[in-house]
Amino acid sequence: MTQESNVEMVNLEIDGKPVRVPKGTFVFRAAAMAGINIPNFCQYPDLRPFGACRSCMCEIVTRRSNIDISCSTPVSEGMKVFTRSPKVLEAQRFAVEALLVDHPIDCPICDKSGECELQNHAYYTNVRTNNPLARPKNSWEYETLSESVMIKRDRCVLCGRCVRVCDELVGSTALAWANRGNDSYIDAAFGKDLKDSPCVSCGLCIEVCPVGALLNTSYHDTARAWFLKKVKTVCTFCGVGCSMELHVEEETGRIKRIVGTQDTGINNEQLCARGFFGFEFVQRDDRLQAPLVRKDGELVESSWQEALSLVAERLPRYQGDSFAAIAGAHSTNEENYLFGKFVRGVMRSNHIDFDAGMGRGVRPAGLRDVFGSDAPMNGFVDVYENAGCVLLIGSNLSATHPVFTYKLQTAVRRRGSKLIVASPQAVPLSQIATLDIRYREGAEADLLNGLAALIARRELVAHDFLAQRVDGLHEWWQAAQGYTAHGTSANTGVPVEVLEQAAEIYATGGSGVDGRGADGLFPPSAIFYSSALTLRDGGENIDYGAAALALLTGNVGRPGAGVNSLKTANNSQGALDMGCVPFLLPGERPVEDPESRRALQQAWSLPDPLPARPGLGLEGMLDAARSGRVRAMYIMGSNPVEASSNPQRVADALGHLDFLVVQDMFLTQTGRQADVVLPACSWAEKDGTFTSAERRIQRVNKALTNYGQSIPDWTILVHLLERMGFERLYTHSDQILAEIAAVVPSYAGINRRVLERAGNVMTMRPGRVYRNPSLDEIKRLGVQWPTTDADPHGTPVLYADSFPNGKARLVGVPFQAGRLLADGVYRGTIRISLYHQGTGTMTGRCPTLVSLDEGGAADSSPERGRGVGMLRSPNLQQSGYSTGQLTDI
Amino acid sequence: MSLTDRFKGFYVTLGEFFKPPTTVQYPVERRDKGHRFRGLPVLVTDPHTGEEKCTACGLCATACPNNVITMTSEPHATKGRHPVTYTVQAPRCLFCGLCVEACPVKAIQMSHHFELAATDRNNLLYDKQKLLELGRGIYDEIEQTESGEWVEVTRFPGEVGPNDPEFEQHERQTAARY
Ligand code: SF4
Ligand code: SF4
Ligand code: SF4
Ligand code: SF4
Ligand code: SF4
Ligand code: FES
Repeated sequence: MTQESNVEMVNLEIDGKPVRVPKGTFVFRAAAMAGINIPNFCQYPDLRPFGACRSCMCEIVTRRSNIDISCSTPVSEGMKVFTRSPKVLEAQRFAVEALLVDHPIDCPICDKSGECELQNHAYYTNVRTNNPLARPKNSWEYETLSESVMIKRDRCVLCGRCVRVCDELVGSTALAWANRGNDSYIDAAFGKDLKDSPCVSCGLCIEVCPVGALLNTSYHDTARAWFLKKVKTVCTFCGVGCSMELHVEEETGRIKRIVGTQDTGINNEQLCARGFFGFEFVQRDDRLQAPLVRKDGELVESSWQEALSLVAERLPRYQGDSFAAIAGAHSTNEENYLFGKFVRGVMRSNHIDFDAGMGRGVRPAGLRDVFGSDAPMNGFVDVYENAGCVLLIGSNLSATHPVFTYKLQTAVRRRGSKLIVASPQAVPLSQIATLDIRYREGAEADLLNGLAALIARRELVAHDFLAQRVDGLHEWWQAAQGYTAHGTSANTGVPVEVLEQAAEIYATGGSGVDGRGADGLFPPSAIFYSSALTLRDGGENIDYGAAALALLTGNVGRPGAGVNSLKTANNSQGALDMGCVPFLLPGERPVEDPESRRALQQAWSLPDPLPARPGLGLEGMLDAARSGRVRAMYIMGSNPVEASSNPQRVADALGHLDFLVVQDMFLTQTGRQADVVLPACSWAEKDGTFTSAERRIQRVNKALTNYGQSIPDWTILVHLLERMGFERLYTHSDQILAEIAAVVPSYAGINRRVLERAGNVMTMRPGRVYRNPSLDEIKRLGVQWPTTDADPHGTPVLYADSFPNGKARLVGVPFQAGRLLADGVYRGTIRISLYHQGTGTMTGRCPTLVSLDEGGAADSSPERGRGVGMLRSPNLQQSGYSTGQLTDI
Repeated sequence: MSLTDRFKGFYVTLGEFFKPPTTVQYPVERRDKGHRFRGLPVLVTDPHTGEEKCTACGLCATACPNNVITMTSEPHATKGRHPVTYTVQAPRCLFCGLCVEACPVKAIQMSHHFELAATDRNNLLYDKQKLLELGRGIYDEIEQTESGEWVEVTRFPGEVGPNDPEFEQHERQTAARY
């Protein structure tokens, strides 16, 4: 299965060890593979070789010029390399001594001390002379470049890692070298303030700096590297699901910083500002300390005993249709699963939903009608490595799924993937797009269906694929015929030529009409958008259009392709999989299906059958609460009041309830309406699993002791159930995971061991042969569902062989001339910002993020299109509004 | 052993018998501790600024074999960083002095404080305030050795250096004692 076989291998010898590596590998990496470490500064696994620091010298005895830098010398057959010969050590010692000419060596007050590569290097090469020239050292003061980055330039070794990661991996180009030679130093590009530059405060430059030159403002001077306990976990904000390490000071039990980790998750050390700085909320004083119970109209602190007894006593009265529940899109799978079991099994209600974005519930129509599931088909790494063309529609993924866009820009710039950005206004990625399409707001559906019709007309379709795997082609064509090039152009405001161009690039995977490969297929094209785009009325037409595009061109079930509607919160996908949706049982099985209900009843050993009618969605519940049909609600880790664009209306609806229980970390506006508020733990204080927007199930590990009297959401539920007369079901979240693996078909065989298996190495790195990795190789840490008991290692690409319903079904959207969209009617606004997630309950309590946001940093350079605070109007039904409007903030 | 040896012994005893006693009436009376006496490690104040010298680099805590020292830090305007809390758990300290050796700024010193009895264990947790209190009066001085080299020595309260006029008398007194 691996394509290792068609890669030429080279044999060489390093320090007497025989090594066999692919041709093109650099000596440095070949040595690393053989377990030999060579000191280095400017070498960094994901960057192009640079060769600036000369500290990675090695001796190649089979060549004439035998001292050379290992980080940029490719291996050759029969090479003999020595990394610790006297000659090498002499050369390396000279390199370190040269660095110490101006280096302050103020290690005692340097944040990097203990993890500093210069310290290690000096130790390794046995350098004992400080200041070899015995002249006064140049010195620099600390300078704060922005709210997130500080620099102490005299510690800089000018390796250029920071400048290069910012350019190559983040795509921001916010840093640069200033001056030349002895006078050179690192500065914000063009000497401007980093705040006014395109810096997105991702912190990657700080992470990769080998010395203490670039500093993290929030970590600065607050801890010592060697006192930190490192706990691997997954980000709690968006759907990308970056893996990260929490660094916790053992002495104080506080999180001191977060860093990304190499070679584990899909992010390869990259994080966005939210991930990097978004931990401060965990240790805020306004966290809920103890349960609150409403007495005489006031919420007063109380004990767990009292609060739980009250809930256990009151809730059973509302069993059935007068009970509704909202699950948490940031809660773990275990918690959501247990919550669903509680709502359906114990409270016997199907009114369960979660906030899929902007206070709206999950919509039944859309991709599910076409494919049988709305999960994204291809993963981030897969698209990064394989896609020939990527089409982004109507979403500012740079704010909603930042690290994915950093990866995407690397794929575009490094591998030459074509990128089509279709958006009503400039987004950061427009800059590097092959084709940048501006369409009229709300015209996504017209644009996508129009493009599909164009492709059908131009015969760029995959006939075999359509014949074998797709139903409803004829009916679809009946509807789609109406989309003439001119009609589409009139509806969307996009010129006909641009439409033609986009259709061609997408259909041919960016390779042009003659670009068919040996197998008769064009390179793959992927479609990405944020699922929040489809939450409005008529949103399903966008899904249908995207699905039609992919099915017509055969871009389903193959690497680098797919229709990927990315859910926004870190565990929205998981909440859906766990059945926290009114019309779906765990594992995306429809509620109406008697067979699924019976299976679940059996698995949960319930005496009575489960309720058969699909429940009300989030908006429906609130309406029902207002009209008195729903009388009690249980809200876990969700904040519908602040999420909504009409908070007053939601608060009013909640006010009509007889009984409201809210489980959260903070006293939110929703919590203020409650009768009982139960304090829950943050993600850093519990074990569990999250499922990212690309279906990747990853482990979250407990790093801190519980804050105050708070306990994890699932523990609260277990205690509550105990009080309601059930036996104690679980004592550890792993037991719930075991039950999930047994009950949810797509999670079969999942357990802790499978999830903690080491990740595979990314291939698209310089110094490695660029080759398309096989599907096996792009399985990284964590597992992408569906899994099976026999093979719990996941499926990176969905629908490779078949669809859940056998065949995919094309759904046509009739053309409607002049489907015009009201502009300028924006009422409520919710800002989408890189520095905030959702309602900002968590991010709004992180001082660094708040100051970045308020300072208008990063998000804010109009010339790069970052500057755009996005305004959304979720409740504007008629406008068919999509991504919002540009405002200067 | 011969009889004469025995008388030699009695002779020594007789000689001592008429000298003043060596026994010190502790705790009423206290013996001077030697310069290198190793009491509880304490924090030293910078005489110029009046602040603690410590920059919270954590090296003492790392050098300590018993994890006696713990601290938390924050940025500081002049020193770069400084300790917010700094704790010495006296019951665990084995007075090895490794922390003192590790400190790059001579901010921690083995004081002459050795009376570490308490009725409550908590009283043996020395926080930053207590440690600074105990370290008051300890300072560094540059002095010239006999070979002409300049070295930095630490002075403790009540102790006098060779440059002081009372030094010689002090030396004589000490010598007479033993
Ligand atoms: S960068 Fe490294 S060597 Fe330089 S002061 Fe910091 S810890 Fe010491
Ligand atoms: S923090 Fe800013 S300057 Fe640093 S790598 Fe990220 S975008 Fe570039
Ligand atoms: S600031 Fe750090 S990463 Fe950037 S060039 Fe200097 S030493 Fe290298
Ligand atoms: S917010 Fe999203 S992109 Fe940013 S670090 Fe977290 S998971 Fe990654
Ligand atoms: S070694 Fe010295 S400066 Fe560093 S923390 Fe200890 S006392 Fe403070
Ligand atoms: S690491 Fe090879 S020259 Fe810098």
